[in-house]
Amino acid sequence: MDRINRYVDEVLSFIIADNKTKERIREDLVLQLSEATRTEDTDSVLARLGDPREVAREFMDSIYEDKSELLNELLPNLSENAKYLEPAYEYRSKTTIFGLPLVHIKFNRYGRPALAKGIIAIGTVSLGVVSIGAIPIGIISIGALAVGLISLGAVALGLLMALGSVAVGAVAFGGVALGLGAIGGVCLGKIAIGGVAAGTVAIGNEIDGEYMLRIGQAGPEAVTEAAALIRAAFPKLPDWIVDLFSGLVKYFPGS
Amino acid sequence: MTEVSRQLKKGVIEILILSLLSEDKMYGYQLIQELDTRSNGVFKMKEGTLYPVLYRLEDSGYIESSWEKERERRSVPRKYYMITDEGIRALGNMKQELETLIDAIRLITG
Repeated sequence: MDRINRYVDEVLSFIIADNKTKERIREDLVLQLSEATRTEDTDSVLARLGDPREVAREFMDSIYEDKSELLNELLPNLSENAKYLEPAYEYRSKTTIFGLPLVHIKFNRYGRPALAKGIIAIGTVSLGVVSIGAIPIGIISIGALAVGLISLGAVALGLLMALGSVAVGAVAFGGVALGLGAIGGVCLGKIAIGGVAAGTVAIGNEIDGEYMLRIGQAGPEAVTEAAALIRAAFPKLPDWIVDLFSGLVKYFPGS
Repeated sequence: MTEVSRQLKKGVIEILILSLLSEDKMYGYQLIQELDTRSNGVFKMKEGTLYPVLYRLEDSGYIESSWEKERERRSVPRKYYMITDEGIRALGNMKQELETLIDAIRLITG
């Protein structure tokens, strides 16, 4: 019986069919061979059936005689596989503004990038007024690599303002900040305020520029001195901008 | 066996199986033997050919199967195939179609 089972297993290993059909074949072949061994020895029976690959081929030829049946069998499997290409999660609000959903959230399986587009967009790559994700692009962008008018991210590129480990923008706040106004650990800009600052106006501990103020030596009057320095460098700059930058000086160590 | 012969046999195998089962219930091995004996060796069916045909007939509702343990000491029960009412009606139609075909062929080949 073991030899019969092994033989049938080998035949089945060469048959491509659904589990139900394979189970039917297993059942019938085992019975058939067991029946035959009542009057013949197992060796003769197996020898008469021949090479398992040939037996498998006979089954396959007969099973797939009508190719349309094969296609019918395969098509549901294909649609089953296609499920894996569908998003792992997607929400699209019914409310739309200018043809865009108010909220669109989309994530794919296995880290495949998903593009979310909406007024509020959340996804691997997101495009929207407010965008959140790995790569958000929008008016307000929050994410790993944020690009926008106002951006917050590990790397932030903001046309108006950027805040991040590395920030580049008109006004940039970050570990490394580059901008017209740059505030951070290492900063480079027209007005640079930080630990290491380089610019037309450089305010910080390590400084290089035309108008420089070393915070450590400035004492409690640092804010006033910074404002005077910025005004001297950029006389046409509105007061509120001058106040904004000089006001930040008090938050730096050493001042 | 020529390709023509193989195709012709394929075409009638369902009728032959249904005919045998219309006489009595039979198990797979028995069907192979009956086909071989009654056709004087012309219809030597291989397992790979017979069982898929049986599956098709069963799925179509023309035959059904059941397990039976015989009185004599046996290690495994037998799986008997039997024709259904629908199978009997289908067999009638198939036989009629076959006769029509044979008549038409005879008219042409003489």
